[in-house]
Formats: sequence, C-alpha cells, structure tokens
Amino acid sequence: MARLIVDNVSLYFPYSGKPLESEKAVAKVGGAIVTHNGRTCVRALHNISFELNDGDRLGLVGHNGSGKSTLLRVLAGIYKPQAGRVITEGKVGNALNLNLGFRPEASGRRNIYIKGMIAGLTRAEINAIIPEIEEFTELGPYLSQPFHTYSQGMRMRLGLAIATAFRHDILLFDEWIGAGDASFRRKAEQRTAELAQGSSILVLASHNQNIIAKNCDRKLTLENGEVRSDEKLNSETLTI
Amino acid sequence: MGKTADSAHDWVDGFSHWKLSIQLALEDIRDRYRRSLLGVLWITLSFLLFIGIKAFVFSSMNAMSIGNFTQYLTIGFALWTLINTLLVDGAATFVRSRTWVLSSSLPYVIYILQSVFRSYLNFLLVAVAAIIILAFSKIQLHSAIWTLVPAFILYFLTGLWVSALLAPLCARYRDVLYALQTVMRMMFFATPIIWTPEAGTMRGVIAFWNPFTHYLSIIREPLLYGTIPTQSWMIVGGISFVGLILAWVTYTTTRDRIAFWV
Repeated sequence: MARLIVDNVSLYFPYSGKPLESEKAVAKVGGAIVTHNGRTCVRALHNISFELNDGDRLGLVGHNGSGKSTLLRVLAGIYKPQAGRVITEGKVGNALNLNLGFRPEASGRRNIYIKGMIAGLTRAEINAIIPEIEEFTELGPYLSQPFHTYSQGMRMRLGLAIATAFRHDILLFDEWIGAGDASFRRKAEQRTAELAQGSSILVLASHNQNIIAKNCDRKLTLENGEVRSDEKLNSETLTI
Repeated sequence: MGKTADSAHDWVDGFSHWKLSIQLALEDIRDRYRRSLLGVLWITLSFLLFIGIKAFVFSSMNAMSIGNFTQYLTIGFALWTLINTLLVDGAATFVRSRTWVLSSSLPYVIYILQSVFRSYLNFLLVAVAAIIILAFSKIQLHSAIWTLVPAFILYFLTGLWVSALLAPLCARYRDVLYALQTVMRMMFFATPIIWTPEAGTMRGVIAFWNPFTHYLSIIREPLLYGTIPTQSWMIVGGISFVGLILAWVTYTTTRDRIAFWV
C-alpha cells in the first residue's frame, strides 16, 4: 500500500542579488522572485497540493526552472519545505540522479554492488539481482570493464537497470531516457509499465511529452513554481 | 518529529550504514591511485621517503640522538597526517558530497563516517611505514602502550564531532574551509613534530598552549617513554566534551538547511 500526499507545499531559495523593489518578479524561466519574511527569495514552489495512491503515475512537465526537480527533491525528503508538508507511506526509491554513486574507475559489476548498498541491500540480495541487471542492460563482458570506458547510453542502461531492479513503493524519476538507442528505449518503457502495474507510485519529470503520455496517467504542469494545470491522461487514446 | 529526534535518527541510521561508509571510503582511496602500478602503496612509500629526508636534515639541529629523533618524528608526523585529514577532509564533507546531498535521501551521517573512515584508511597505510621505521630503529615498547586503544577511539570521536561541527559551517561559509587549511599548515610548524619542546623556552610555551601537542602526547609519550600524560589526557578530554556538545547543537540546528547551502 503506497501513498503520497503533498499538502500546500511552498519552498524558498536564498536570492543573492539586489533586493526587489516591486512585490514580485517573474521571468520566463525559474521560480518567482518574491519577498518572504522580509527577505528577497526565489519562490521555487508555491502552494503545491496533490495526492497519489497505488498505481498512480504522475508526469511533471514545465519550462526550465519551473520546479520539477525541486518538487521531486521535496518528495524524496532532500529539501525540507518552509511551508506545508509531505506524507509518504511506503519505501521511496530515488532515481533523481541515475549516475549518483557511480565510480568511474570501478567496474560495472562493482558499481552494481555499491549502488545496491546505497539502496540498503545486503550482498546476498545484490547477488540475486545481478543476472536480471545483466540481462536488462545487455552489457555482458563490459560489466567487468571500468565504468569510465562506457558510452553515455551504456551508462544510462546500467543506471536505469539498477534504479528499477530494487523494489520500491514510490519511485521518483528525473529526466531519463535522454540517451539510449531505440531498442533500449522500448525496454525502458516496458520496465516502467511493469513498475506501474505493481503497487507502486511513479513520479516522472520530463520535457518529453511523448514519454509522459506513454508512461503516465496524470500530468501536472508547473509554471514558475505553481501548478498551472492538473490533467488526467488516457494513454490508450494518445497517438505518438 | 522535533529537530532533536530527527538528528538522533540521522546518527542511528547513519551508523547502521557503516558498511556502506567504509566501501565509499575505500573507493575514494582506490580512485585516487587506480591505474598506477604501486597503487595505494604510494601513501606508504611517500611517508617513508619523507621521514628519511627529514630525519637526515633535522637530526643535526636537535639534541636528541638520531635514533630517538627519528622515532619522535615518525610518530609525530604519522599522527599529524591523521589529525590533518580528519580536520580538513571532515570539514569539507558536505561540500565534497554535494551531489549525494542533493540527489539522495540518505542521512548525512553516512558522509561524515565516510570521511572519518577515509582518514583512518589513509592513516593505516602511513602506519605501516611508521611501524617499519620504528621496528628498524629498535623501539622499546612499554606496558603503557594499552592507552593507544582509548587514544585512537578518542581520535575517531574527534573526527566525528569536528565533521559534524565544521562541515555545515563550511557548506554555508566556504571561507571556513580555506581558513582551516591555512591554519593547519601553520599549526604544523607550531606543533612539536619536527622540533622538541624544552621547558622554560618560547617553544615550550607554544607547545603547552597548542592543543595539538596534547593530542600527540597521548600517543607519543606512552610509545617513546612509557608514560601516560595525565595532564594531556585531561585537556583532550575537556576539548572533546565541549566539542561533542557544540557539534550536536550545530548539526541539529543546521541539518534541514544543508541541502540549501551545498
């Protein structure tokens, strides 16, 4: 049973520039620049509220700096918002940075161990999922090669395979699938669909409308840190 | 949950991940020397050569016999290596682990432990060289050597509290890190490592008021002379007590802001 409740969340970043003369300044990118508690701040998120339950797949879209990644970080518990609260029920899997923890000089296999430990797994549990990762990434003999010899796409394959190999109730993804060839993209989409069919919640931020349309059943559009629209998606009726 | 409970949870959770911290520390050290033939042995080798040249140059300036001075220098310099990495790397913990802080929800204590373990792993390789030198210069061991166990535990605790205290400050004010590096370079010369303090001289006064002297004494004195320096133990004990409290307060009050600062 997974659940994710975001209740009236607002988040401010320090602003290092001339104090504002007007009440509020909004640009085409980034959050709104406002005066909060007498200080000029960047308001990265403003009164965000939504609720997700088992099987929900939320897509986050919006312009550069609209707050997608910041919101994901709030969901992951990395940023503590100055207002509002986030309630999570279930184990949160964090794939905000697929490259996190990869050691360039270590082999692919050793990297799987390190990333597995980061996800809180024991050596035996990691051993158990290695065949699955080998199969999914198709890296074969390259798993014994140092990670720095991998191409962008190969790194992505390994990162995504590891992030999705460990079972989570709530999975957070940021801008994925960028690299990777056609065959891998198909596999990745299939993997995402499998994940969503389990009792997990998926939150995915992307600029690619196709990826959102294919993988999500709800779309939240952010603009300067505020929710501009919250739509239900019906993936069957969409043509790509 | 209150801030205190959050902080306590971080420490319990962080310590339960100690294996991960050790692996990350191992990788840090390996990464630095991978693709080199001697690998991490460079740490041991460079220490040996360093002591060799220093013992040769400086022994003529001190009244001690060359054998004793070499031992004195070896122990002092090996410990200084540990103290320096514990402080400087410890203070840089959050700045260094920036990507982790921003994309993982693991407790920050893992990175603090990682940095302390890394300093200790580095010291282990230095200690190999130090033991070789001490064995060759025929050091006499005394029964007081058991106090090395509590001494190294105290160093470990010091590494923890220094990181918990300075790492958030360095994340907020980057100047602290550069100031610390500069101070540590100065302190190397103000600490009796390459010189010996003589009572009644200026150097004796400097040595007494320098807390690092006492951190060295609790290990160097039982090893060299078989004595347990009670006064030094009281001083480092007092510093640790105050340090632990300050570190706890700093970590607890800043932990929610660290992600915004790095």
